[in-house]
Amino acid sequence: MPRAKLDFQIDTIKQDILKMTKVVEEQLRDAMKALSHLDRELAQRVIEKDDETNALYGEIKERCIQTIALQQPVAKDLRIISIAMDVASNLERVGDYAVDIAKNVDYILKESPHLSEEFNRDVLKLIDGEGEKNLMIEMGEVVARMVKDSGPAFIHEDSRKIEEINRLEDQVDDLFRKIFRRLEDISRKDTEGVSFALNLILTARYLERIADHSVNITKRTCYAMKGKEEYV
Amino acid sequence: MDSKNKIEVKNLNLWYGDKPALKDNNLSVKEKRVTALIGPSGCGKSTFVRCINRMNDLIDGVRITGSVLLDGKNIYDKDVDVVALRKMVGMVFQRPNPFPMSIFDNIAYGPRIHGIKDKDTLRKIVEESLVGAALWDEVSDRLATNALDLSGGQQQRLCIARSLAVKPEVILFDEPCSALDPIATGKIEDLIHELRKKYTIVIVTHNMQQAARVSDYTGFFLLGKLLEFGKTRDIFENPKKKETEDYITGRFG
Repeated sequence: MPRAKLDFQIDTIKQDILKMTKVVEEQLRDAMKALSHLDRELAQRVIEKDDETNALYGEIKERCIQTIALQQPVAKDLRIISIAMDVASNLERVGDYAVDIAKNVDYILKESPHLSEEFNRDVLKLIDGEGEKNLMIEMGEVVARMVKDSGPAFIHEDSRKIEEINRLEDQVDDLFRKIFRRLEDISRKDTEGVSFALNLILTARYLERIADHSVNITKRTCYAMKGKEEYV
Repeated sequence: MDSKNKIEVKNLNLWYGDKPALKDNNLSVKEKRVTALIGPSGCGKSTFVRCINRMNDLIDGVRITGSVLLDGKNIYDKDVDVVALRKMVGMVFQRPNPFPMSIFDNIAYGPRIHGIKDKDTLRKIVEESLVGAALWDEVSDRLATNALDLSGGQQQRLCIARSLAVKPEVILFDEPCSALDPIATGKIEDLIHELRKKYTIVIVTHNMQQAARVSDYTGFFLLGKLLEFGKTRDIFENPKKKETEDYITGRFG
């Protein structure tokens, strides 16, 4: 078969992207779980897992550059390889945000004893994983689905997944606005907790950024598919 | 900004005896741009480029229909002076083909047959042509040496200088680097980049990276037909036809 070596390299790059997607999705889900259960150990594991994400990113980037240098791909082959680097870079950022979310667990555990019972109850309602579904957890769930689909959308050039990710982004924006307003109200009532509330707003902001990275991946996928950055 | 069309090929067909080699091709070549023609062996790209200065007239049994307009004038019209045409449309071939004479005489050959006798004028043309072909610095002190003593890359630049000496407007390159090493190839490619400021260039090449590096426009030929033509950037980043994609990505056949 002509270009067997190039095809092998492209296939390996694609498999690594799938693997990286799984790793960062797990990082994100664990970060949200650590947040909802205020689980310090799990949060620590999320932080440590970032080394694996970064190593995978390095490997993918290296393989892409090597393939470009040695195989001199053009047209769609070149688009796939160069976009794979973009996809990996977006996934790497997802890993970083998962770490940022996990780091909040420690802060919440340290700060909440100093705040009023009412404040704690109102705030923790946003992140508490038990009982009724709450906004921050719901947002985390939607965002994790977007991340989960993003790598496969690129690998399989899956238009349905691309559409789904873009549809979910609106939901994420909506949830972000709701969380923002809720935390604004809570901190107005109890100014002692402003810094605490701001930290949770940041968490929601990280989730919203992760969603943006998933959307970026779909945009770049459209380019790899069609040579134009427009939705299919 | 896109320049005007220097050459317009319209409905060009060519047969070697009964065998069709070019099938109804249309193509516009922009002035002072580099147009590369790529395609597998036997696809008609060299035959096509030879139609632009009527080199195929020299082959027995060739029949051509259609037209090739150079600055709007059909070069296949009966009143066209083929010698004057070839002065205007120079050609550089795959293998360097210097005449077995001195470097100076090689370059002066064209101007002399076009009637230039004055030694100072000839000397000036030889220098300008060698400078234009990026060879002057390497040979200025040995213009009397036999051209066959030069290296392959130098011989090819000598042939380019020889074509520049008759002040052409178009230069056709038929696989100019296929007999050269990468360093000599690099020099020719740099030279093509310089030449495009003054001349319209058409280059046939088997080396796709070369087409990608040196040209502004690329045409892909398959089985005697120009299958796809466009800006080089578009052809190599996002070709429209599957056959072009298969060929340039190396998955042809």
